Amino acid sequence: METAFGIFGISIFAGGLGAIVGLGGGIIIIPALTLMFGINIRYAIGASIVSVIATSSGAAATYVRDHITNVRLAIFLEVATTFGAVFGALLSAYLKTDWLFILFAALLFHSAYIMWQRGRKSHLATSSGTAHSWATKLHLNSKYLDPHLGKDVHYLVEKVPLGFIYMLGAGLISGLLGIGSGVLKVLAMDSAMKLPIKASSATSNFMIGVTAAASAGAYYMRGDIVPQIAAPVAIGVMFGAWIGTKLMVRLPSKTIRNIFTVVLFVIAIQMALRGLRYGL
Amino acid sequence: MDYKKEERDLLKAELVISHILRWGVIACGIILIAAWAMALYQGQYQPWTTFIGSDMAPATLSMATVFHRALAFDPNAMISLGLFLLIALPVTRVATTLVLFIMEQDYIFMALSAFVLMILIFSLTFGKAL
Repeated sequence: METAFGIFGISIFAGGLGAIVGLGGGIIIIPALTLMFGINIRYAIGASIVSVIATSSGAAATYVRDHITNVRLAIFLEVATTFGAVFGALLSAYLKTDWLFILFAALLFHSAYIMWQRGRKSHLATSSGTAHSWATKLHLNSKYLDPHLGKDVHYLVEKVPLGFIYMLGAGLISGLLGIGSGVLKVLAMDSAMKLPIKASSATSNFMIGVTAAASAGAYYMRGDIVPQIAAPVAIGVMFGAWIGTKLMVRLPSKTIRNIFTVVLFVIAIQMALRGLRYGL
Repeated sequence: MDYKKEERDLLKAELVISHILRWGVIACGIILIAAWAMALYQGQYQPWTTFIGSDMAPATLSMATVFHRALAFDPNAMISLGLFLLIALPVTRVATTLVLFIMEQDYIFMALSAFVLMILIFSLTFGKAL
């Protein structure tokens, strides 16, 4: 029973941190469940992927309503992400547990690196000014009303095929490791396809839910989503994310980001050790 | 002219999608909270090590059994059902966009949404088998 509340508490923390820092709750949940509670990583992944659906759908609802999300682009890219996700979910059943730990550690190192880079330089993706031909044909170019600037921001979408390939990878990682891959999706849309950061965040959020559902379906039917674990995780993360968005305005994000980068690094090492030890 | 109408329809559609997502998450949240509270209260909280491989795991039960047990207020089955609904939420969202594109007669995006929907359904039906 205490484990239940322990899981619940950690999930709230993960949800809140995820909302504040912009990196998913899954990155924290899975190491927490496996390293702190000794839960099998497959069940941790199952629990995490369901909570990803919950948080992303909630956030997406707001962005779609505010018309910041590029729905067309999302659907187009979802062909890639869902395909990758199902493949990832199936693949994860065949990989040995140690490998999942090691891959997760690699992901954490990468996330720590990205987080660190984010703090150091503002990544101004310079647009080349021309849309990709696919973008024009599929009406992907769009605009959104930026409340901060008070006017419409028009943008063109570039390098569509490259973005599509990135999304295959993002989907694969999401399905394999049970995370949202939001960071990867935003990266692809921001640096490759040159969407303004708000549009890429909103569109990414919209896609995460569907991508997660694609792999979650497989995990659910395999019995990898255990009610006693997944329920407190899902509820906790939803609650935490809600609190997190409320608090976000008042908290010093930069300090939190820096601390989080270090924490990620440490957790990455622990996950790697876990994966390597069992292999010996 | 055509593009403008398309734009306006998409804006309306986006509101529908937004509502589905928001209320869907809230509904699932309520079911999960209620079911989890029940599970804790009834002491149904077996350690998961005994859960897996027992007859409670959905892998060995059919969805119909989970559904029936949930209706009988079995807390673990209720949680399982709530989680299933949560997974079904994005699927519903994609189905909605499919319908909207059919109404729009936007054949390319109709095909794209249909494709995504097929992948999702494939995952749910064959995810176990492979």
